[in-house]
Amino acid sequence: MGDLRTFIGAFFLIIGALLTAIPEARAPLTANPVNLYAGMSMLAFGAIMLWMGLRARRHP
Amino acid sequence: MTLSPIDYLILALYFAFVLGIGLVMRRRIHSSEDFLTSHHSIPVWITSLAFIAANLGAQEVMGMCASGAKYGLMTAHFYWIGAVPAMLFVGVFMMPFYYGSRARSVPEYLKLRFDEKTRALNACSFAVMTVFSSGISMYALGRLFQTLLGWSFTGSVVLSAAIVLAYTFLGGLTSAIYNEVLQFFLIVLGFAPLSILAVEKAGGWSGLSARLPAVMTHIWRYAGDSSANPMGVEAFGLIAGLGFVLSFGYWCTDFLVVQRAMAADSMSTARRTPLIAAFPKMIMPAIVIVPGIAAAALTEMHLGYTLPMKAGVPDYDQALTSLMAQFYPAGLLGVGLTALMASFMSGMAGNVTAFNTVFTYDLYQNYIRRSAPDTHYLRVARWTTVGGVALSIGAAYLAQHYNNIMDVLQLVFSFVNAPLFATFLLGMFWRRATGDGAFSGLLSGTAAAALVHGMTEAEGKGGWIGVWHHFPSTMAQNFWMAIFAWSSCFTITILVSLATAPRPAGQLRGLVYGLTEVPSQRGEAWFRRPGILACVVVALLIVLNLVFR
Repeated sequence: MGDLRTFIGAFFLIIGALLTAIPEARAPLTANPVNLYAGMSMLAFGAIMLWMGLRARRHP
Repeated sequence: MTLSPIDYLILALYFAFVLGIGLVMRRRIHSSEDFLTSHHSIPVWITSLAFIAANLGAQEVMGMCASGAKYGLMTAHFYWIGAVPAMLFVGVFMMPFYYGSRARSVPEYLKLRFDEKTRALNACSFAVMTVFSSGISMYALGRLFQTLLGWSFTGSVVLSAAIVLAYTFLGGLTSAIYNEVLQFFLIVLGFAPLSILAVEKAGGWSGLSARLPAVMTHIWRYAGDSSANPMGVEAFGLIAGLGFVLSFGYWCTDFLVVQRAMAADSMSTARRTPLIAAFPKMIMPAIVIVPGIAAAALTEMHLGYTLPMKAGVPDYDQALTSLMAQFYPAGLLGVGLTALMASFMSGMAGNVTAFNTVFTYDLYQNYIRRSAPDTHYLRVARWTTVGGVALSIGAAYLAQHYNNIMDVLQLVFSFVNAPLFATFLLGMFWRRATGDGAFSGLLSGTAAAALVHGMTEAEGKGGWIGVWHHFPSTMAQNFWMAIFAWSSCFTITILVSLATAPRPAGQLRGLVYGLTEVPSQRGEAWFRRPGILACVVVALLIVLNLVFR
């Protein structure tokens, strides 16, 4: 049975990786690489969720 | 607004994940209870996040942002004196009766506590309301994506409905709840950057406060007089109307949210569900209201952003999407739009799963086929999902063609909802309350709400009987309508109950205060005790109210 944290972790890892892959994209009112910052936050969040999900699977 | 291929890729990934969760959850469904109530098996962190996500529909997200731009930080009252205190009340005081009675739905609790007619009134009005709420959500989604991206109305409605149908049909309530948690994180991570970017552009909170009238950044300072604030509401109307009647009425009696807590795996976790949910709920204004306030400030600052106009006045409803268009580059824009789609779908799925349970258990099993094998009810529940989604699509098209009908329906729903909290309060805490008292109280409360609306006028609304009083805003009118409805229901329920025969105490065990054993908290860690959790939330609420007073 899939742990929900594994799903959430995998989802945000993929989205985070996609965002960090295009740091140069800019919006009309943003000068900073916001994709990079948001992507890295999502990678970190996704990694924590995935780790918690896998840990729960090993020690149910 | 134009999307890039990466934005479409993010949207497609989201659809794949929600369907994947539905497919995995399908393996857990063996009975109608698995499908409709999750068989009381969900851990507390999941039920807590689903508890707030089910209410985090797109109308909430976009509406709160719009209110932030129009009314300022006073909009936070919907959270800090509205939702959060009500969530504490349901967790500490009401959940022992809901969960302890083993009722499968809120209408079923009414049947156990009062009688069949009170259950039927609540079940029928709730079933109709959920279908129309889901339909209004679909209509709003179709209109938004049509205006924003040029997508076809039918295409947007059918796509979202098909995905919601697929994962709720496959995995029932568990699938809806699991997806709501994914949707919650997506909404938070998708909209939080917008709040940060917009406030930073406006010069931080101090810069933003300096550009706006002080009434936009304080919640209590201008609440003494209804003419001093843009909401047109004074402190009593706010506390009694919004804080007590409307918020307690919604969070404590609406099956859509209560169902999430009732899916918890024990009484202890059911009680903690709304209390834990109160922590993230308390900080939601930073994500959904603050961007709206920043939009108002940026408009004053002439930095390249202005609130869109409609017929010569600011179109506050577009505050969120216009900010996204200016602050989100390709990629993050896809995340933001996917979060918007997620919030629409979470609202729809919440309504569909609640409709399922009420229709199958309270209407079908009770009035159509009473004693059938469980596999029959599971089949009925699955087909009710299909029927619920189909009816919602019908309601969405009705809204498209007859917008006024939907306004009238929403008004009628507010008449029905306003008095409900009085019925539950008396039912749970006064053993003398009777079924006849509850039923007549509900009817009188609904009539009182309709009368107040018919005899008062605000912004051109109401006054269809005659204008006896003028309110400065429709919000003030709604709050006072709720106060009159609640008071009428409370008074009539007491009077009729005293004139009718009460049920024997033996029949009320597990349903009423004083006849229900509240589980002992001894031996529980302090952070698992509902009373202590509630005290921590109250302390934080006081701090927030003082800081932003």
